[in-house]
Amino acid sequence: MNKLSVNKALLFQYFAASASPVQKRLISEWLAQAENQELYFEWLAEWQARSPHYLPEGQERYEQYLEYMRNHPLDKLKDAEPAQSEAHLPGNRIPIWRKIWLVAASVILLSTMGWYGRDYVIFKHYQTSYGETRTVKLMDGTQVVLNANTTLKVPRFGFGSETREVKLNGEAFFNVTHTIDNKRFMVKTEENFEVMVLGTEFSVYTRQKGGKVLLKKGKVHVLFSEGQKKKELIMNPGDLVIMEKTTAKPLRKPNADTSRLTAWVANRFVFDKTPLSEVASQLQEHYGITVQIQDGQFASRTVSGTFQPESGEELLTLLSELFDFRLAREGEAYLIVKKQ
Amino acid sequence: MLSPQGSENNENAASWEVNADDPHAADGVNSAKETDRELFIRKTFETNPQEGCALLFRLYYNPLCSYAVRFLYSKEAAADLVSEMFYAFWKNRSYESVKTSYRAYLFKSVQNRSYNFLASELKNTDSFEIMPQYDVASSERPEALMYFEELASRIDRIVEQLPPQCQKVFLLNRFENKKIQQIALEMNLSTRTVEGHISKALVALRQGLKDHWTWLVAVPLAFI
Repeated sequence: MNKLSVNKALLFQYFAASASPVQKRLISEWLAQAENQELYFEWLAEWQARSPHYLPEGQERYEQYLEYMRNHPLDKLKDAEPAQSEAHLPGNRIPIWRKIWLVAASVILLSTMGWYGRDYVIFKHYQTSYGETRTVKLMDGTQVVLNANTTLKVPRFGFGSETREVKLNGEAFFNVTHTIDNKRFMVKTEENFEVMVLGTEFSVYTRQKGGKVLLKKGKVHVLFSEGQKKKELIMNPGDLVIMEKTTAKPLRKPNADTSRLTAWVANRFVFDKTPLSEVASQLQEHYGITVQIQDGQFASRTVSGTFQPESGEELLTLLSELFDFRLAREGEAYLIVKKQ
Repeated sequence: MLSPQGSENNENAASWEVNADDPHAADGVNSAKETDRELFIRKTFETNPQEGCALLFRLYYNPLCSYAVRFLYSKEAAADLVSEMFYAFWKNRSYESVKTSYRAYLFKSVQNRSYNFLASELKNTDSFEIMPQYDVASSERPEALMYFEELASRIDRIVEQLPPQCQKVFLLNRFENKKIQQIALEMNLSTRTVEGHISKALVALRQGLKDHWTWLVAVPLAFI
């Protein structure tokens, strides 16, 4: 039994010219099997795509390719000249003419969609702007409510046979359906964790600050890595798991106030002794507006209550009345200053 | 209140990315996705080969160019080579005879074409046979598959060992496709000096790869 097995990590080393002669020998033996040759190219394509040596202008070349195919349709003899002959098709060849037109139409559609690379071929992107929340229903019936400034990537061609997988950047509330064959649902993030579920209600928060998972109903596993090791945390309803960027270990807080933390789903802000500094941060995340607390005394003041503002500015104005501060502008940012 | 169900996303806003795969996934998970994808492409070819080709182009044009450029050291040449391959792929209906995955086929084609290109470029006065362009390669000998990386590393090493000015001129001319005049201006050298550096680099490459010529010629033969 060969202890050192050939895997993707090794091949990646090899492509980066860091494999030893012994390792190369192993790879050579491993490549003797046809299915490994397929794997070789799969991983090669991935490595190339991930660490490109340069980014060629695909757009122009792509359009040229489409035009080439248009001008050299296959119905013709292989070496015949293009385009001109189409105008001279006799009457009884109309079906073929229509077929060419149909092909040209779908090709034009492809080219107007533009060159967006592999990612847009494989995934459908749902995106919200600042201040926007949106509900999306996936092909398996799962409902997702996207909070502001959030992107959700969903496979375009169906979920495939193994796991249902989506990728999240931002914040979203999931209501995941059970499938007959108990297919798991995975939420992947750009951060160091992913969430695996069977069927349940939960929200995932993944932004610059860090990550959070809140479980409302059901059961959820949070998968993360601690250094080299892969670990798993099983959550129960009411649990809030927080992953700060600074600490490696996730923190679990049971009995979280789930309705407060998911108030945004109904476009509400619920504050419970929330410091103004935290409110400023939420305004940034939700509306994209920068709020600077110039006068330190306001940073630690807390606010409690439910707000359903039309805009970030409205909420700020409300707060200025509440705390009796002055709201100033400096370019794009809002400043909270003492009233003179 | 909750906003109504989201309609078709406006895809014109975002810019394109290069990579879709997940670094955290275990080796097996991505493979399953890849198989699904290849199957989908195969199905597309059955009804609409133009769309199949367009799809393959969009999926693999970038990584294929990056692959070729490691070998050819020229952005222009790499882009041309990959484009030509896709043109031939369509024109010759090569997609009908692909027994492996399209991805494997396309990468192997780029390998072959790169060998031929480099061979024709570096041939010296005692000329040797230029192999005809093969785009098909069924099951390979492992050494043949791995040879590309070997050669690419060797080329890297030769370029690395060029004296600094020479290397810089070579890369500007070869990789960036800048004209001799332009380089002379940028680097404040005479055009004669620039030309001198370029030929010095080419000589170094020819010398360094000389003992690989028989291999280079022999390798495509295995593809018949």
